[in-house]
Amino acid sequence: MDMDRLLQDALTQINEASDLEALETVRVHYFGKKGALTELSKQLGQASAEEKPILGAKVSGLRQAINEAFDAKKKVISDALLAAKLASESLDVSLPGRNVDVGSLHPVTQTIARINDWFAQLGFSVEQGPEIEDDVHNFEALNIPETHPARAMHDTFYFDSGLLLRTHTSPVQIRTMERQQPPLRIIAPGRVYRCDSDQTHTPMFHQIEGLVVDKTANFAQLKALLESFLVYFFDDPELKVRFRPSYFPFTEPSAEVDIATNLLGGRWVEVLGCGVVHPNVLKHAGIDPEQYTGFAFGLGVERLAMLRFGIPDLRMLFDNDVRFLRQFQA
Amino acid sequence: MKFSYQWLTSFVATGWSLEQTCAKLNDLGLEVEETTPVAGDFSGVVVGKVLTVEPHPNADKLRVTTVDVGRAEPVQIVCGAPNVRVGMVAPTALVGAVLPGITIKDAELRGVASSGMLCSAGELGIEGQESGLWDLPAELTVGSDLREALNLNDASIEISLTPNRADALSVLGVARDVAALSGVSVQAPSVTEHQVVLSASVDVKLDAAEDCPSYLACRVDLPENAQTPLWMKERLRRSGLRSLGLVVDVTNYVMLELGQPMHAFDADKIQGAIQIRNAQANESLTLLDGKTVSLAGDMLVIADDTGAIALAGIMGGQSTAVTDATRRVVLECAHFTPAAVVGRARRLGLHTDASHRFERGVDPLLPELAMKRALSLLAEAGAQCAAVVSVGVGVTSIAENRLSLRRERIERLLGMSVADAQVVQLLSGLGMKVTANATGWDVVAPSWRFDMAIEADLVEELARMIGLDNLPKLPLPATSVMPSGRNQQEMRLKHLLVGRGYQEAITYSFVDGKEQRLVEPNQVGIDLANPIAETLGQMRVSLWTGLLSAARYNLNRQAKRVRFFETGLRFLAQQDDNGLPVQIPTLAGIVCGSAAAMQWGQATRQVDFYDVKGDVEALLASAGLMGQVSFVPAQHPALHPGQTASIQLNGQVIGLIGSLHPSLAKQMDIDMPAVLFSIDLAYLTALPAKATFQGLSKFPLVRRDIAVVVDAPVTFAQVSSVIASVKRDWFQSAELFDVYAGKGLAEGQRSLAIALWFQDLERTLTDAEIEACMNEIIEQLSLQLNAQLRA
Repeated sequence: MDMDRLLQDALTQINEASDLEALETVRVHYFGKKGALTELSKQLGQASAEEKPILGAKVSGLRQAINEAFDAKKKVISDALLAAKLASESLDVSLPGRNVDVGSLHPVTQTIARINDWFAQLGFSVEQGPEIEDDVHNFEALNIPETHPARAMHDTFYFDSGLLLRTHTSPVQIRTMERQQPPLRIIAPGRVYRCDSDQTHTPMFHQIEGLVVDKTANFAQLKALLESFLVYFFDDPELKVRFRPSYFPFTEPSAEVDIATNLLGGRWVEVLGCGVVHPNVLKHAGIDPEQYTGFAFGLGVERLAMLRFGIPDLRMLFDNDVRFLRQFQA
Repeated sequence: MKFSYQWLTSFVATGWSLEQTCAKLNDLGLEVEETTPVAGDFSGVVVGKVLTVEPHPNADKLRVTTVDVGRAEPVQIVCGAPNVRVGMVAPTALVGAVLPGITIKDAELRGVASSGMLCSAGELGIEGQESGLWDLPAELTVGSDLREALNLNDASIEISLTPNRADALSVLGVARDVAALSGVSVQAPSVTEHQVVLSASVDVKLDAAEDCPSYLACRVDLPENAQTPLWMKERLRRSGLRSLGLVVDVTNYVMLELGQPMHAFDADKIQGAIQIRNAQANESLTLLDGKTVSLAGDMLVIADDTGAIALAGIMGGQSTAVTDATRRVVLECAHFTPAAVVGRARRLGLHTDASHRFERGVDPLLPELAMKRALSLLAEAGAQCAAVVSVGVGVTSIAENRLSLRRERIERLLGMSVADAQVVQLLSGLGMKVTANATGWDVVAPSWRFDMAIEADLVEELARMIGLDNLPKLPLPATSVMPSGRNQQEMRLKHLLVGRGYQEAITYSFVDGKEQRLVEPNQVGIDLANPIAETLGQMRVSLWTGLLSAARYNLNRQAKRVRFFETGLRFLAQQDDNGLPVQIPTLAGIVCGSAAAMQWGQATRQVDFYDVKGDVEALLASAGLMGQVSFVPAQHPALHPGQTASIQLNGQVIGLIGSLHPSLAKQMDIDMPAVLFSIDLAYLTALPAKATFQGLSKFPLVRRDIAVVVDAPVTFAQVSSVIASVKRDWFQSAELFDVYAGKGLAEGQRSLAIALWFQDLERTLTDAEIEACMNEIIEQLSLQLNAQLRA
């Protein structure tokens, strides 16, 4: 048989095979037990000694050429099959994914966490205290005796037992100092209560109290600390900070801190109160005011949260409306 | 306190603008709340004098007037005000004048030409004067600009004073602070001795010299038709006070000017001598405002023979009140100590300008000056005054307020040193007497500074005068104090719940007691003595009442599912070691509505017990407690009796989970399935033990499945505990993958399909040993629980 003819036929048949099955039929036709190439190999045995190597090389070349054509064709068909399969599996990737159930932290919690994180980096521990307090820790130990006019500034919730709901987080200062000797660096976030309810007051709100007691604590440190805190909190290097003399019975000197930022149209907004701890407060907690000094600050969390998130109405913070809470997912 | 800017600058001529003045007041700690112009924005209004008033030919209610406005010719103005009269001096808006809302033009009113407008105070944006044309004093210069004539280019400044700054509750007090800051000296009003023209005296008996070291009284007879001068009315108005007749106006004026509260009695209504004494048992008094109060023994009163006629330093009584008809008065000017006044007004539900000042402290040296000032003002207005009667131990007995200031302490507290000369200058500027000593200075505070009590007060005064913004800023030194991680653990738990679709709620710590009794009938809630509302009257004993009410709020607003968690204290009636109620940090949640958000790819179903149990187990796993916790059937009145478990940590109850009881759901108006949980937070935030590495096996993992049929009361916990009791080192875990009940099983029976996993760390397990283990498990299940392999 003419080997050139055989090769031509084989290549034509391979080329014409349209699927893997047809290709296999062609393969059996050439390489099967009775296949044309198998026959050729058999004939090779009958060839003369001189012809054998030449013929052998020819048959081997032929086998290789057909094999290569087979593999190439097989790949073409497989690729086409895979492409068709993939094409059939394509998805609408814009359909929503499953279980996208992400909730949200309350903006008050987010605000407290933001503040805690910053102070924690400076070595402040987060402390907590009871919310039903006694008069001593909420007032007396903070240098606010029974008849002090400052009591009128605290609309206090009382219980029949004489106990009360803490009106500020300052009692945590006292409880910490009773428990622990200086040096102290604490912040105490938590719920506080005033008997007051209108558009700008809720009977419960949150404060964060800060306290540093050390041998060198002074007003200058307080200023630097609060100023850099406020710049961090409002994320505004252009923030203006103003300290105004004020009065708290438990600090002396006392100050209130106002900020002005373009965010708030440049007007001054009061954000916190602070001061150097009154010696009576240290004494009451068993700390020698000659040896140690301290400074303290207190800030209203809701006020900061409202400024930061642009929340117009304080009361929304306690409605727990899911449409409101959902907005603070990020 | 509210006062006029011009009044202040008349005391201390700083040359500062209104804005500068406000900025400085803020720097001084006298916080400016607001400033308001004392008159509307108008121009072109002059002082006019009505020359003629004729009826209008075409209108009954209009009059045709001619008004002298200081020009060659009077102007003709048609006027509708009923009080217009010949000779009246009134604000006159000329043609071209701009008033709030209108511009005055030549006009014709019902056929008569009118070139201007006679004005009421209200039309000029001035509140608090009578309606009708503003009847101005005759001595004003006709034709002069009204703004100039009445100093209307002025503003009211309202400052908010902290309780320590009683000394600044007067224009004089504010001026003193401004003077100290600016270096400009105070020009106090000149007070002339009044002429004694009345011989009448006042009989005063002082029985409380300690509470009242000085009591001055003076008889004053008022002229017919006593009038408060316009300038005084204006200053009062600009300070937020209404004019109430000459005597009251003068006492108010002196209080605003100098800070000394005064009182006037109708002399004809006083019976016998004036006594200053403590109230007697069962004594009561009807006050000026008509309210009758019962007095306590520690309250100081002014009395006559009939009993109490005034609450000293707080409010006068109705029986001796000055009225329009009063012609003879007794003027009182006294010093009551803060200790004698403080707290009394509040106890009686009162708060007055006088009590506000006396309880914070009024300058004890002031009564004599204030009385002189009041009498000279009254005399100027035509009153006749008697000699002043003065009783009491007097001012000499009042101890000087001595303090000392150490140089070292200034730097210690402020973080900066202040030069000696500056210390002396600044403190002296505040009226302090300063003398140097070895370590610093001896200081005598002025009589008006009740707040100067300790060294730090003096340091604050220095800081105030230097300006807080001028103090240095120093970095906080590095610290070796390590913060605890407990707080981070709580945040981790919150983030975990947020990741599982929960929103954090914050509900009030006080709830509606009625509602709480439905949710927690077995617990006693602590009631507030003075709640803001009955619905916020009781401290919560669990977080569920608040959470249920928050869920209902949203369901009522068309929410289809609610997933809330909250952390906070719950309050029990029992006492702790500090004598306080037990207050337990708690993490609680409520889930209601569909299990997942609406989705195209999975069937919608309502939330059930196991959904929420999964969340709780995730929390426990995150806290490192998973292996130590069991869920034990439990009962709670708020929860479904068959779908409630207590969460137990090594046998101790740390929480509760269960489906909302259908009856409570109905009462609470929650019309979809809900599951609640609550866990004591302390167990979750205790720092979990650190993980310890376990070796990973290289040998094959073998799985064997069994399905066992158990009777109704047998729980999965029992089955898995029996499996675990068959001890093999290479037993890894048992996982439940199917629970079946129904066809093929008897009523109440369940089939539990469990995958058992085996693997050894060192070797390949043989079939024989696994078979032996399986057989033992099956045998024990049968023996202990009567569980059978499912056919």
